[in-house]
Amino acid sequence: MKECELVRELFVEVNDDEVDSETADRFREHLSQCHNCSDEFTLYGRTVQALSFLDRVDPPDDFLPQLALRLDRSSPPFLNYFRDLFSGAFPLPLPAGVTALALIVFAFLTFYHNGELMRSLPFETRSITHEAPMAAKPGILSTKKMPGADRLAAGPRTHSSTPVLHSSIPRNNFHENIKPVASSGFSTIADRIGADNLTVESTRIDRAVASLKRMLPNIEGKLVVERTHGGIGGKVLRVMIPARAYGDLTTELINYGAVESGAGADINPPIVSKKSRDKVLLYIRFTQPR
Amino acid sequence: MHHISETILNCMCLNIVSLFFVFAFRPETDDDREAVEDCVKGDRDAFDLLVKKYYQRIYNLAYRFVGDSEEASDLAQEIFLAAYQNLKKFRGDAKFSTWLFQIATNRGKNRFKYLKRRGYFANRGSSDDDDDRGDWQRTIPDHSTNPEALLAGKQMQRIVQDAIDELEPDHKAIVLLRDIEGFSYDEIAKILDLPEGTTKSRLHRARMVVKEKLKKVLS
Repeated sequence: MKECELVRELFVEVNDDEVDSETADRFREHLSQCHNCSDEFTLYGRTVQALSFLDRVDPPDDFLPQLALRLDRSSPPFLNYFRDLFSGAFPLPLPAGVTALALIVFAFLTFYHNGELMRSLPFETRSITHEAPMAAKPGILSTKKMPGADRLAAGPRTHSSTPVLHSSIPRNNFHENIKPVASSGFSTIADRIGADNLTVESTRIDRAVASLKRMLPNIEGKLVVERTHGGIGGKVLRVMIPARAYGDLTTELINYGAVESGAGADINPPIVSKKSRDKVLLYIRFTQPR
Repeated sequence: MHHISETILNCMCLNIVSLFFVFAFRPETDDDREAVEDCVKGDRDAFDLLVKKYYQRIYNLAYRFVGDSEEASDLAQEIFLAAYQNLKKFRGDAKFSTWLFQIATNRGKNRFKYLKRRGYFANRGSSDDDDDRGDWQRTIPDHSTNPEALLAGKQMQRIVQDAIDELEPDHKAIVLLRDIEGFSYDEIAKILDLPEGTTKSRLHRARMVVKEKLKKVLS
């Protein structure tokens, strides 16, 4: 019986003619004495034959055109660089990848939470009193010429340690700090310069614009029109924002170099949206520092 | 004089030995390497050439995995799409064809498992019972007089396909690669990333399962 098992284990090699002559002789000798194994080997041979007799099936006529269409729709291999940026360069097992992702999310949330914390601190501790009110800190958005500075010099002005243009405005703080549009106007620093149209001077207009765009969803605002304007890289953005966010947005813009001058002669004056009195249409011009 | 001839002899021996090593360990030549390189550079036509070269074999393999022309079309297209999108990852350690069939086998096994879970093969089997299978069970031809005709017959094709559809995915893959596509054990070992010994023993087990399923028809 044991010999039968050993012989049957040889079916593959014998069928492929891959055994030495001595083994082949012993195999044949066993089959001549054992009808079971002989029948099994015959059946085995027929099975292999039956499998090899399966017809080659041709693809349908529309196979190649359909495939070409799918290939056209898919991204070419070189564009997968970005998709494979991490998986290809640093192949990580799934648990390590998930842990790394969790750490990144945790770090982001911690950072974001700290930002919120700073905003929730008492007014005195989170504000900086500027001796020169419009001396905005240098950076992407910076100012050199501030026509509204003299009017602003009358009093201290707050400067958020977490600039809105670089992150998000916590919505709860908005509702607390911003007074709604009323017949008396906007009771914010922006109101003092009457800045319905704002010009922001920046050495990095593209980044300043991107920063503003990132901020808009957080204040439930939206970009209406964006177009080039004025000098090299100059842009005008028409944004629709909730009136309650007007003060905070313009304050932040002023903090980062916005001045009160208009957006340009070709731009219509700002209006309060006709559809809804609680929306404000604001023009913001970004120019290179003069 | 004696020293000089000895030095020349030594040099010749060294050359022969180096030549032996160069030929023994040279990398496998891959006819598709140039097309693959062009394709990675963004040449779509180069990939079309590869498609034209392999699509019939890939389609056939896909068909044998799923047993249906529509499913096979979709699967074969998915295989080429995956190859196209992952071509950058192809390092050239193996031949392109080996790599392509590796993708095909993996995708085929996955699709086969998916369809099996959804009872696709069981449903198809029962519907076939109404036509083809019923017939052959009622009138089993005398294959002893013409076994080849029987094996090549349409009904027999269906029976064999049904038998391999009942295999485990790993068994099915190895039977398809060896008995239908005709790959060598060495190539199958590379495609399935298995030692050659395991490849043979797995093939043996798979064939034995098919043999049991075909016993009634073949004995």
